[in-house]
Amino acid sequence: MADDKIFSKVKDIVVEQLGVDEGEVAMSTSFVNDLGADSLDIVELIMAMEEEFDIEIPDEDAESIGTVEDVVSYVLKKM
Amino acid sequence: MSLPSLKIGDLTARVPIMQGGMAVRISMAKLAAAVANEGGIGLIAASGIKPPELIENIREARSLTDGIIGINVMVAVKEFANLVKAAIKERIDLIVAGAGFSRDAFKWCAEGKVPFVPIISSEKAAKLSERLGASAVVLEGKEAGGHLGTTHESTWEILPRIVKSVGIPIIAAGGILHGADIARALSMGASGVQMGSRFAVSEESNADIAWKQALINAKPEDVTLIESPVGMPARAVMTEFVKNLKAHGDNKPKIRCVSCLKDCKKNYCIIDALEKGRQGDLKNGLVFCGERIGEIKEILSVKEIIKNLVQEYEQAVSPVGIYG
Ligand SMILES: Cc1cc2nc3c(=O)[nH]c(=O)nc-3n(C[C@H](O)[C@H](O)[C@H](O)COP(=O)(O)O)c2cc1C
Repeated sequence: MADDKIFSKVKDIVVEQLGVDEGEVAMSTSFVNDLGADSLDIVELIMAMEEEFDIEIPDEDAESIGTVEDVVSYVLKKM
Repeated sequence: MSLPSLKIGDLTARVPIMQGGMAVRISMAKLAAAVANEGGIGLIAASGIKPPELIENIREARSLTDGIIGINVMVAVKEFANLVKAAIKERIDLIVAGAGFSRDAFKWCAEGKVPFVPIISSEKAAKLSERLGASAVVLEGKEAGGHLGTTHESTWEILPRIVKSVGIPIIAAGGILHGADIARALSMGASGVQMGSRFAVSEESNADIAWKQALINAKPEDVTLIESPVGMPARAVMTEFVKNLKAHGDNKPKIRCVSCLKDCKKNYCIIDALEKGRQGDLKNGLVFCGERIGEIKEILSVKEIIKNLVQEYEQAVSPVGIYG
């Protein structure tokens, strides 16, 4: 899968899970600082990503994910 | 009417009272075993210690009781995974975890067939816990001691909402001191209670007498909220350490940092401060307590504490005039 395709899927998930506008989600967007996500939102986001991309993201990796870009590069690495 | 039992997974506690885990080293083998011996659930506090010390305490507790023994550990500590895995290997009865949310722990506990019980303060966390396979949840309101998931919502405000949102057993915590509080929690749909402050001031809790005296002497105005390096607020007694902290914003101890937390704010060393407090050094130490600590006036044995709670509960639920 290409980067931009992953980005657009990640964006869809973020929009749905956090209830934000598509325009608010860029590569550099931070879930906590820019979108006001709390730690549980992050957990749910990570779970949705796992489902979408059929990968497993353990706590340790999840704890280092803070931005949309972090997710995209993680997914790229795992797929 | 006597107290109902508390079921968590395949476990049945004859008395629906769980002794809250209290770190660092406040609730260890002796306290946990004493509570388990009275039919409740005893929790060994694993935060701030290493797996070998935890294993030693689990084994000691087992040698003292056939009752239910669990551990309590904060997700925020770096040793979290190792502590949970060590406890599962020791065939611990249950694992209670707060200060963070770990999905891995659900998996490890499911694989090890150990009930996992997250500590939560919101419906969102309760629902997510149930979805991930929690055996029960501890609901902690703002009245609790130690690190707080909420500083503005009372146990009694949150409880009804949690009762509505999940089907797993709910253990109410924060501000439960007397049998009447237990009656109130159960009548609102909780399956049991967790108590910290009351058991902190017991003969069996593992702290210096000066630490226990600080709790007994604490009046409501001596109780305050502080920012913990864990990144959460916490409730503590206004010791000299806390006064300094409030005046300066930090309290750097001259010690070697062992990086015990995944993400430490470094305004002071939480382990050092809690351990000094436990050893009775109130000048340099931190003493955690619940909001209602001012109502606790004497050090009692666990046996007396539970006997009183059972009696008070029975009085609270009995129609006056029939049973007295
Ligand atoms: C001295 C002290 C230490 C505590 N340490 C922990 C801890 O390590 N982990 C935890 O989950 N809760 C901790 N707590 C919270 C208790 O387990 C319990 O949930 C809380 O105190 C309940 O409120 P209560 O004190 O009004 O009974 C601590 C509480 C006290 C008073």
